[in-house]
Amino acid sequence: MADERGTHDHDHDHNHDHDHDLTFQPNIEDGEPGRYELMTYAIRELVMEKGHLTPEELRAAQEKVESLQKSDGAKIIAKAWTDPEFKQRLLEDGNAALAEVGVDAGAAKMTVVENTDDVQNVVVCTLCSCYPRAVLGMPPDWYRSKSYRSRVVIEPRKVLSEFGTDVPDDMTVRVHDSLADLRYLVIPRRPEGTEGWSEEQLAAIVTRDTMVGVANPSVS
Amino acid sequence: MADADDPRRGYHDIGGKDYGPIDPEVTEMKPWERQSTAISNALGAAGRHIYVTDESRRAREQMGEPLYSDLDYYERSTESMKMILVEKGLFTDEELEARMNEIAKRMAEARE
Repeated sequence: MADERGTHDHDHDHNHDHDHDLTFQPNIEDGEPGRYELMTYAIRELVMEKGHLTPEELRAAQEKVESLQKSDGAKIIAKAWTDPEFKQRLLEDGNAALAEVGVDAGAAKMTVVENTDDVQNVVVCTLCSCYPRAVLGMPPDWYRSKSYRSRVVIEPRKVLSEFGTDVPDDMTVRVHDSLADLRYLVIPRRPEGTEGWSEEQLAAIVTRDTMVGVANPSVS
Repeated sequence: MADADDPRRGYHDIGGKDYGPIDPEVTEMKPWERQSTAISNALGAAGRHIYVTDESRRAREQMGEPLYSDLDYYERSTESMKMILVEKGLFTDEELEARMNEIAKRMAEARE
């Protein structure tokens, strides 16, 4: 196949709890496992038998991956919107500011950029799918797709319009290409009509796509 | 290894090309994909430091275009992890294939 898309089954319901079980057995109703599913189980058995990984380490890593399914990003943006000093620290040193709120952004540099009335920032990783996982969780399918990776750097306005985001001609679009050592997070524009809102109310309108920059928050 | 239109480009270096319309649908990670990610994190830079992110990127660029294009995202990351662990001598390809066959048999028996 030419792309990552179109290979996913949607018609079965996985039992997500069994991931935490170290005697984990794959869901047998799923039929025959694929090559890479088998490879994953084989690697796990071999590295654990040979002492390269303990059950405790694997469990902790599994819990971390599970927790990444729930993104903290919206809360961080809401705080940045209501606390200008925090926002300033985020823009100056993303890793340090995130550490303040208990988020370990990892070894890669986290660069935080802000959407303004004049600038729309968009994040991509053309070479692979580097993504601010510590803040946004795992990257969505489209972010990993060859279509997005290849096109957003040459025709960002067209790509944004495919996401339903129309950028006025007089606004600058800035596309940031991530690397293994450099990640980006977008602070979206705070929409009008949210004056006096609580952080909780604000967080509710901040979606993943707005923090990648392909969409903008709205109050409607 | 190189791009057909530009020999200086690696096959992973696709910025500026045109791979067509973007499918906005978002799917959930499968259990084995989460497993693979967890194992990789536990062995990698955030865990045992057996390898770092740049090595796993290098493996993706080394697996060859046919395999790279054929695999989806989590298959690619599992293949990269395997390549590095074999390189580092944690296990051999033969050991791994044998264990995969064994697990396939166990799973087939469980399905019966």
